Amino acid sequence: MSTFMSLVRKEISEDLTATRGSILFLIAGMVLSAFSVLLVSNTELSLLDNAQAVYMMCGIIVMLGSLIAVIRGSDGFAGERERGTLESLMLTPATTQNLAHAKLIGILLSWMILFCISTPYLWAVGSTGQNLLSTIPYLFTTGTFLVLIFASASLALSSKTRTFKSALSVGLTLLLLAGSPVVLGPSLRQSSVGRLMDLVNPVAGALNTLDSTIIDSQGLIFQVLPLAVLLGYSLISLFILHSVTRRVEL
Amino acid sequence: MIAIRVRNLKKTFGAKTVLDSVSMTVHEGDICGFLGPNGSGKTTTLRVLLGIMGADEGEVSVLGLNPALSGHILRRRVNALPESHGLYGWMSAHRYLKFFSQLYGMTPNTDQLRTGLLQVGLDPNDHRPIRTFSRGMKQRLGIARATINEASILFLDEPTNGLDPRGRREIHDLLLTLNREQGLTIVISTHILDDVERLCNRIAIMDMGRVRYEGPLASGNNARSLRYRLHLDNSCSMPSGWTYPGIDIIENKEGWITCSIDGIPPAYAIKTLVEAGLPILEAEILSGGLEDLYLSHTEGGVS
Repeated sequence: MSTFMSLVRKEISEDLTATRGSILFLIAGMVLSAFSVLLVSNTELSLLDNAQAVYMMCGIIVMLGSLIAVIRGSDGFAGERERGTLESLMLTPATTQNLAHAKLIGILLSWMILFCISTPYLWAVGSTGQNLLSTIPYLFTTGTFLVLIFASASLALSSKTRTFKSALSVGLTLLLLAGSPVVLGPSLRQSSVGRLMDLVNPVAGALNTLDSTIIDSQGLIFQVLPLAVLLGYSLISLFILHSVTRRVEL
Repeated sequence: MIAIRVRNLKKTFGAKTVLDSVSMTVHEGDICGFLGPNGSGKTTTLRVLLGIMGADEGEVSVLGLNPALSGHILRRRVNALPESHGLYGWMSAHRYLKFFSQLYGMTPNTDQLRTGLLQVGLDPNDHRPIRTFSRGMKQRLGIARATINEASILFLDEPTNGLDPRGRREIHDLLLTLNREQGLTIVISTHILDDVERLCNRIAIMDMGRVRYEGPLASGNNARSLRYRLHLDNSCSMPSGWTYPGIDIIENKEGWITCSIDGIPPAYAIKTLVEAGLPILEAEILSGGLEDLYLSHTEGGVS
């Protein structure tokens, strides 16, 4: 087995068998359960159209995926550095770029596990609604892009910070900043500034794609621009990760 | 053949100079003790030698390779045990050893992994997670990992930390066997002078970012020897021309002699002198030994 594949396998095992990986999925499952129960049983929320409920659920799923990407990414180098395991990995023939790429694959696998866990919840809140089946590939695509962006950024930050806490605090700040335009009011979002922020913001791009697919039933042609923005951000963040992890100091 | 050659190595962290013109040489097959107080620059030097930290200036050659440029190639041919164990608490010892051997491109079978664990005194049937291991067991597992890839040079940072006397002896025997049978070059950074005396044929003493002393352990400045003043019966002196391996008569006066004892136990040396006809009344240690050498070359030394 090659050095890189051994690292990937270790990351996957850590997800599936180590306590930390299991805890993240357990918490994600609890959050999804709580929101599903709210959407179905709350007097006001249960009045929402099914498509609206599915859209809200999709928003929660991609944000949970991004949050897990930030947590796992921040732990990637800084956490290993704190636990003293980074040095032992760096002493092997594995390059620091191998480590970064293997960790990125591990985080993408976490997202895929979360996606599998969350699909039944979508069915639970919107089984009778429109566009449920077409939602799933869009959810997977936009979620994968967001996870790729936040995981790469967090891993790059983590390779340069001394502690997990500092990497996590910067990563969470980035996530909040990226997510903040979503909370802009409808009138502000219709302004030129709001539209520009929507256009360049990856989180807004992902949510707009889901909105237009689930609620407005728009086809793929309408999703090209926001998906291209997401792809562009993904490529840029991958390039940054690749460059920053060329040299990692202990 | 020179295994490690370092010339005028310099490294700073901000305004602090950590390595200041470090120069040293280690030959193939040597077991080199790397001594020095905390913060003297030993770990930084080892990290530079392993290519996981860059230097600001200087020349470094390890097995003919520049670690800064060919680090990942070099690390296939060397191995190291860092001071922090670097163990994954959720893995079993067997799984851990398998993971690290795969990082070296090896595909070890169960028997090879069992042998690796057995040679450091770990039970290969113990499948508990590493987080439940004692400190000594973790240290043993770290050594098993460091010896997994049949390296040409092994760098060890405090290899016997946390081991009981039997464990230390076992690790000494393992390292000496690897050195003798496989010609493994070993660099040991440690504070335990007894480890150095038992294992090393060469030492380098670092202090404040500089190598203050470098040389063979059993000769040169007689780093290992103890200097004794032996008080004799009045009017007695050493017969001229008397020699014995390991006992070097430095001063021969009426009533006392000064000698250095090197490579044999002092009690045995004194018994030999008594048997040679010297009426020894009292033996007084004047100085010597590795500890004196260490203290004299580090800050606040006794020299």
